[in-house]
Amino acid sequence: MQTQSKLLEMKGIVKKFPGTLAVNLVDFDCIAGEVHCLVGENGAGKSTLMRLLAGIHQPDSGTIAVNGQEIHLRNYSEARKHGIGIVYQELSLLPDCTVAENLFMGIWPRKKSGLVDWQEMYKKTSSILSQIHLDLDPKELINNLPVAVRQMVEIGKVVSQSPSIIIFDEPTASLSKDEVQLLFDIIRNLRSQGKGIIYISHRLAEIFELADRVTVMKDGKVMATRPLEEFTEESLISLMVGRELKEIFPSKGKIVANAKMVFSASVQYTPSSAPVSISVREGEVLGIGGLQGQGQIRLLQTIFGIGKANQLVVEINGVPCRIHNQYDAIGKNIALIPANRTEEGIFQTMSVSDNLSVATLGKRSKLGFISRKQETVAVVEMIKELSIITASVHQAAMSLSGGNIQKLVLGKWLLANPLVLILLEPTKGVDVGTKQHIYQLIRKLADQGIACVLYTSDMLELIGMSDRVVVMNHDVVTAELTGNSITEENIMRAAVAVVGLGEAYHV
Amino acid sequence: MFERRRNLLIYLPVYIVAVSIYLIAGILQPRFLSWNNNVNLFTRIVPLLLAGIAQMFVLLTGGIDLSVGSVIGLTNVVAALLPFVDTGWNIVLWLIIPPMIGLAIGLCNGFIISRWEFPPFIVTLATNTVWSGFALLIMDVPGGKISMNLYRAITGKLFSLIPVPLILIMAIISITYLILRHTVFGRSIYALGGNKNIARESGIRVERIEVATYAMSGLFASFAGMYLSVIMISGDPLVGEPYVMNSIAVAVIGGVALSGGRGGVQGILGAAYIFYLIDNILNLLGVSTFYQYVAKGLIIILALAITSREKGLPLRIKAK
Repeated sequence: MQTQSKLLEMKGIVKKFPGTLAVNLVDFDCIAGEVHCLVGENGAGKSTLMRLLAGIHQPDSGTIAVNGQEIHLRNYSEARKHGIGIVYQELSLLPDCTVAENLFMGIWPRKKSGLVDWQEMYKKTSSILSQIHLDLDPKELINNLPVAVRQMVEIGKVVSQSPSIIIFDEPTASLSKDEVQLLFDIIRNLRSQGKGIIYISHRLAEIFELADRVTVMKDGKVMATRPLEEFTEESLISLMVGRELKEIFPSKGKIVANAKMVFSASVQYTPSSAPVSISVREGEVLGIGGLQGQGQIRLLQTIFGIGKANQLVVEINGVPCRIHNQYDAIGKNIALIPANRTEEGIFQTMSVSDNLSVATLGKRSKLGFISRKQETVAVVEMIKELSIITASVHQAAMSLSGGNIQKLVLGKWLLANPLVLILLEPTKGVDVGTKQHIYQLIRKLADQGIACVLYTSDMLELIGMSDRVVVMNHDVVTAELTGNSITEENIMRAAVAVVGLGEAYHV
Repeated sequence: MFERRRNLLIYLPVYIVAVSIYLIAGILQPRFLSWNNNVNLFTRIVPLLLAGIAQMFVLLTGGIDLSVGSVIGLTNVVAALLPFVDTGWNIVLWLIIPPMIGLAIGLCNGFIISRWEFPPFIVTLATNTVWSGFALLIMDVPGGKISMNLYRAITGKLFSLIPVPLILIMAIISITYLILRHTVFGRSIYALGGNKNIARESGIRVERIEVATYAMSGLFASFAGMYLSVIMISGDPLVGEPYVMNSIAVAVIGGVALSGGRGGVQGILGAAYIFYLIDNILNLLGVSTFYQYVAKGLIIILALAITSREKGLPLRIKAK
């Protein structure tokens, strides 16, 4: 492999931002026909390095060469001209335009008269879509497509410009397992065409499945660049964070055999369908598993009063609660931590303090006037408790890192002293160190008697955190696992099981 | 605490521009800097300040209120038509009825916008027409009367020293600041403007807050209408018209983001000054009315460029 031509070579790259050395003397390269994975915690410098390749930032020193020729990138279109394509984590498609319009945005094929050649555009779109094995009408609106398909279209958009180097920035964050496999097929196909692939991901399983070479970054520096075979999962993680894998999850709760039920909920969507029920015992973390999009989020949101149900029965500590909307749920001390933390979780322009206190303003106010003193005390305590890293409580929330933002959302609801805490993907896109902290926190809350319900698409997290796992398949609970029966195999078996309505089996 | 200070710095450009224009006026016409002229400025600036604040409440939630003009016009006319005999009860009536009208119109706007999720721009554009029509129906040409005692009270001096309009300005700004920063309602406004969905998820009664901000807008606009009737000692159904756009301009130059969630009352006084002083200077210079319009528009854009935190000049302190 060493003899092969280097498509991309970055040497001695340094990039400073005010207050931080984001990239510190980094050497990085990519060879034709390889998948080069880039891993590291959030803030390790991966994204900055890729932004340098996209021409969004310029390096303070060091050189970037494509095909042995040194280049200086001032913007993304220059990067594109040099054959660098980037598939972004956040979708950059226009929702009210068709697939074809999105693929050819700005590069519409023209007729001689100068008008847009729609026939040509649809024809080209079809051929691009078939290239990435996507069976889709070019005239379909992006709005009508599920997120996973949009992600594929996004890839199509990049591929259509036939770049020689393609960067995937956490492309699987919104994909289900099947879709991930489809994506991998596409990536392998691109690799066999002699493209250089740079793949950024938090998910180690993907890296071991896909990578030819792996580069680990930490604190702006490259810790190692080696062929995949020379890494084990443990060594990879310890290079990223400097701690062993088994330390990540706190030990599970000690479940007393006949512990009392602190929370139970039963949802019936339509009069004819069977109700879906979950319950949490004292000191327990209940995990909700299954493939993505099997009604887990719908169930939990319905319990929280968002979404419609024919019948919703909720009991907290044996007391039945009426819940018609989220205000009722909040009033009954139920808290829901949403999945999409930057879009759904925080007020970007508001301060850390305002973000933390926003859900509990009523508790610290008299006649509508907020007690600033009480507020500051509560906020500062929570920041300490969660070790949120912020310069001051008045700092704008959007300036925090991803992990700290997630803690902020958690803190907002912990201030409400919830009895039931529903967490949707609490560690999505969060670095390993913060993950560990959040895990410990969830466990601590469960120990304090708060009923914790955890939905996660991360199998390791589900297995590592849950005292009990409910597996869902198409709005039906197909298995309830406890203790040693919580294994990947059991969960997957229940997740893919073909079941009739209302049927469930217990292991 | 450092961040606090930086937040205040955000409003500095507005006041730098305002003071600069003030000093330029002073150089052009030294009499401009006299105490008497300053008292006159305090008196004239109040309605623009009130209208700007009215607009600010709605803009902060990400909405817009084009009906402030008609509320000012209608309440102005009503205030001038109410019995002006100076008995206690009449004064109480005078103090209560116009704000009730403003409040009712605001509630009505808010209800339509919130209940059916209609675009506020169109809804308030329509209601603006409706209430302007009502104002003209009640009084088709300027007229009516106002108690001279009221006039003397508003244009007078407290302890023969502090001009009442200055006290009003201080009170208006303090009360608005208190509402925005120290009440659940104020904090909810920012949350709603920042992100409606998260606000809802955080248990904030989004619809109620939205309706309430339009009501606040109507209330503050009615104060402006009443104030205008006093200093004009009469009513004019069309007096509110320029305030529709001027209130938006004042709020935005004062640092309120049109997209909602950002800004506050701190910059609005400066913005109102900028606005009023431009007129004043152009008059002092004897610029003809046609050129005044052109110059005013250009100066507003310049002021916006210097004070804006949305885009443009890199004055915005950008967080990484």
